Amino acid sequence: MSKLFYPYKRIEGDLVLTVMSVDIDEKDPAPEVLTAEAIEQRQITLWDQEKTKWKTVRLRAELLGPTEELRRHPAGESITATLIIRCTSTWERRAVAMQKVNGPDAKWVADVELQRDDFFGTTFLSASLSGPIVDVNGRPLCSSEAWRLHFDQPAIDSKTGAIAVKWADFSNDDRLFLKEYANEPFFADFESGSPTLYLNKGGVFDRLPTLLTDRPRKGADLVVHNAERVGIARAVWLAMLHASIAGIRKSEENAEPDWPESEWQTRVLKSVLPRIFNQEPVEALKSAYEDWHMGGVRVIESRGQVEINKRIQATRWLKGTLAYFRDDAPSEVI
Amino acid sequence: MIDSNDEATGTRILQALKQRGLKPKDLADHLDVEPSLVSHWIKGRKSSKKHLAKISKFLNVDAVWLDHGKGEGPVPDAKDEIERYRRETGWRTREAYADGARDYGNASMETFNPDIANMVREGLQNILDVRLPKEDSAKVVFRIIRLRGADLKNFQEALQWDELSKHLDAASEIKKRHGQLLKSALDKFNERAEMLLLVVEDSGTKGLIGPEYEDGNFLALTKNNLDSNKDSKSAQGSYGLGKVTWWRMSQFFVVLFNSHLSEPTAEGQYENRIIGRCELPWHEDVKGETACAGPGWFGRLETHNDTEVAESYWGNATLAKNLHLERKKEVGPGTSICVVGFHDPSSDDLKDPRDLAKDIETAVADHFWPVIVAGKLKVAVETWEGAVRSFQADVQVGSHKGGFVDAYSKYRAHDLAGELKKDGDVVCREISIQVPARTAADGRHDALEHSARLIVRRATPQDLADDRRDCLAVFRGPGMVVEYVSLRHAFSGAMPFHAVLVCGEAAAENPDNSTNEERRAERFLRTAEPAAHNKWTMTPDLKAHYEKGGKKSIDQMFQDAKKEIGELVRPSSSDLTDGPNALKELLAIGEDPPPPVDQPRIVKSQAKLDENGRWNVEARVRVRPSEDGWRYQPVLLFGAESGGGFPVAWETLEAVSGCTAAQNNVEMPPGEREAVFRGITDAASHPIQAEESTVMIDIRRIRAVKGAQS
Repeated sequence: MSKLFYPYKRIEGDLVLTVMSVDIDEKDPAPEVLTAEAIEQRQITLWDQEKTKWKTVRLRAELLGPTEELRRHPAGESITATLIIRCTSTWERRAVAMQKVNGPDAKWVADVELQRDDFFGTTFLSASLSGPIVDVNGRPLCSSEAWRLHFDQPAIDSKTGAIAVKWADFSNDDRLFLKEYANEPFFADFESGSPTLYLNKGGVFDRLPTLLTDRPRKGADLVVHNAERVGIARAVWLAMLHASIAGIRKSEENAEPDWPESEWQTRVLKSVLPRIFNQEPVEALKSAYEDWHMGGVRVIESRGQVEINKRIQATRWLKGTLAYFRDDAPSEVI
Repeated sequence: MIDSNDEATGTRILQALKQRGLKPKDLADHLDVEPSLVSHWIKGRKSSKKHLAKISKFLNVDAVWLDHGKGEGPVPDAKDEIERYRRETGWRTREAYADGARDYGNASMETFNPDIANMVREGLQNILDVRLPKEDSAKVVFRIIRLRGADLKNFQEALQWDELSKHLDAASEIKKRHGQLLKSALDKFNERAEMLLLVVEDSGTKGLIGPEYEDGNFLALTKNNLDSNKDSKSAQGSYGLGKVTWWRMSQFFVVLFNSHLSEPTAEGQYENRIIGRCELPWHEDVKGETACAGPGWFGRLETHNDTEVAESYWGNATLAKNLHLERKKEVGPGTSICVVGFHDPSSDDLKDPRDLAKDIETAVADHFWPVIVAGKLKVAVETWEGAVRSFQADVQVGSHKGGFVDAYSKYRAHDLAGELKKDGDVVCREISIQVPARTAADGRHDALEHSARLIVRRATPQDLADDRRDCLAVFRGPGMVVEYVSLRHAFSGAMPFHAVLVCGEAAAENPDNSTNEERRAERFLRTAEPAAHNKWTMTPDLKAHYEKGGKKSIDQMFQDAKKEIGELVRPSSSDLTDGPNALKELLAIGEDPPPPVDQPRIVKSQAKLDENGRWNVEARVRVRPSEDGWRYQPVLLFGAESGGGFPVAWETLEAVSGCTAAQNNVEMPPGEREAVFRGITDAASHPIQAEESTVMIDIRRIRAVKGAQS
């Protein structure tokens, strides 16, 4: 896909949005939230356990534009700045007019208060400038890069890059959906916002931790361990792929398909589809959409399995198992 | 037995003699005593008390000052001193080599990149190397002086510019690099009629001690080449090359010195030792008789070994003042260096003194924050317009290198944390260096292990603009940062940080009482520094003086430090899940690079709206050449709030190069690598007015075509 073209001249300089302060429940600013790491990565973590019961977060945002370019721009003083809050999970969207700060710099500020209950998962905070171009008011002139406000634990762990994997005693867990699958060794939950793989350590599966936990293994122990984890991973990957394809959007009949709203689904599709269809990501997305609607997911089903096997290195682990049965025990210890 | 008061009185007698331009023998003749007696007075070996009244009258100073040092000392007669220095000083250049060889410049001057940072590094490390052991800290003032009008004229007169400029002019005629640089500088100087001086005044240092000939600090700095004259095993400099940066920063390659010595010469001289040196290329003698080898000196004109030379000119405070090298009495021993025609050769711009001062301040902070934090160096910068000071600031390293300064300060104060939990936390870890056995006769020792200190600080929001953030600064005993190793992209998603590796004697619990291990590691690392002292690596000296493995040890040290830093700053885990990693690693939704795609893709595009409301677009498409051709359908999409956009129809679609176009399709023949097509949209197919929407160009329905033809 080529770049986006506008029917008028845009502002080319940088528009930099900075979150200056974060107050939770009108308490003193919490410096541990607005850390250097957070500022650098433009991410604010609000889901930390210590703050689970908070109700309101108040942010002060500052927007700095290219002063000289804006001064020369035909829209001049009519240019306005808007702070945009967008939650992809709850579809909560807000636009807040930012106040121009008197002074030589092209600077705007805005305070915004967000209720915990209105948001889920990751919410995006960005800003844009708009102004009149010829006879049209409110033309978008440029946008800042977005900040991510994590109201809940991100679906994909920043360290491992994986979805959450948790142990639970299904039969004795408070979560009803786990009780329902008390006779299953695992359950992949894609409905609760953050995809989570639950592993059952209760009932007849009380030895599952012995089979799956991290420790050095060799011989038959390693073979069985690999076989089980590959089996679980394959099933979860296929489920994730299906859920993600179901997330592909199309606003109107003639419109092109768009990536899912959910970030983790988009990541799944972007990492798998180009390999399934041997196409650029956008082309592959369209192919997947067509296959889903017109082909009954046949291509995805058949080629997807192969791609997923490659991704989880199923062949490698299988070779190790086969070598074991040839009295050539795998020497690998994990 | 020498009486300390007699010794002090003797020193003051000598000072008064010098300021009046007299010699001890003149005093002896006047008092009708043996010259040896006067010499004994001066050296404090005998008391001069009963002669003080006569001495004070002859020298025109207060007897109380001579006896106790109180009250006004001798006030030099400026007029006398000016007359004297005009009569007694001048320039002498070295005669050209008898074999006819010519040096078209001093090769050492090309060793360093001529810029402010290198000048500051080399200059300050040389100053630190001659720090007096008893002094708490060395003090250095960088003074940038702009001379115009009468100020410039007075300076030129004191420097005997008329005589010097004949050499400068002759040297500038040389069609070699240094000659041409000089010519350019002289042209600019003549045009602007102003000159900058950089005066670097240090104190708390030894000064230019040593005799006029043979060996010593004085000779190492002002006369000899490749002479570091450093005896300390931890001294930063060891090549004797760094001093040339002073000359390189002079447009005219001229540098002047004035020194107050920490220990008098054998002749009892210690104050206002003035000498200048120019580093010119070979040139014809100004008298047209012989040629000059290049270097020349400014000072007292004497004859040495039947050769006319310029030697140190002592005790003329007026000359020092007129050369802007005046040293206040309270400043104490040390040296003032004046770079004549100071400039920044690395910059196109003619920098203002304030800009130059700022550059110097930044360079000082960048390279010397450890020794400044340790309290062993204080630096100030000043700018002057002639004799009027226009700006002064002490270098505050905290405002330049706040992250590193905070890290090192907390380490020194033992204010350390166990982990990097919050911004500003500092932790310390040990990093081992395997020092190989030293084989050189001088200081032979077995292989040993040295524990360096790795200090890591979690950055704060205030540090984010620091261009040295996410870097590892390394230094040893003298406290000059040898190198900043960037780890900016080494750890994906890491918290921002500042890291410091403190090595050698700097890692000692008590830096003034380091262990053998620390001293040997210090020497090892110093040996591993090239002339610019800007890294630890394999050097000829390392190879010659140590067993094999030195370079490997250094590499391993950096690897260990990097690994340790990674452990400390890796992404804070947002993973509260307790499932096995063996499963998580299979469920990582990585963002691998997309696979290589053989199909055509747009590499460049442009679009413009015409007066009829149609989009005029042009796109360049590239593909890996293959035996098949390609057919595809270019589309223009109107943007939508969500979704991939609305395709519109073409009014015209034409090939520009590398393809054919027909029926909304573009075809590229087999083997073709690149094609350009152009299209105009059909306004009637637009879902909305073109002025109201963004557009994107894309190619669809890509198919390989056997035997496609262009």
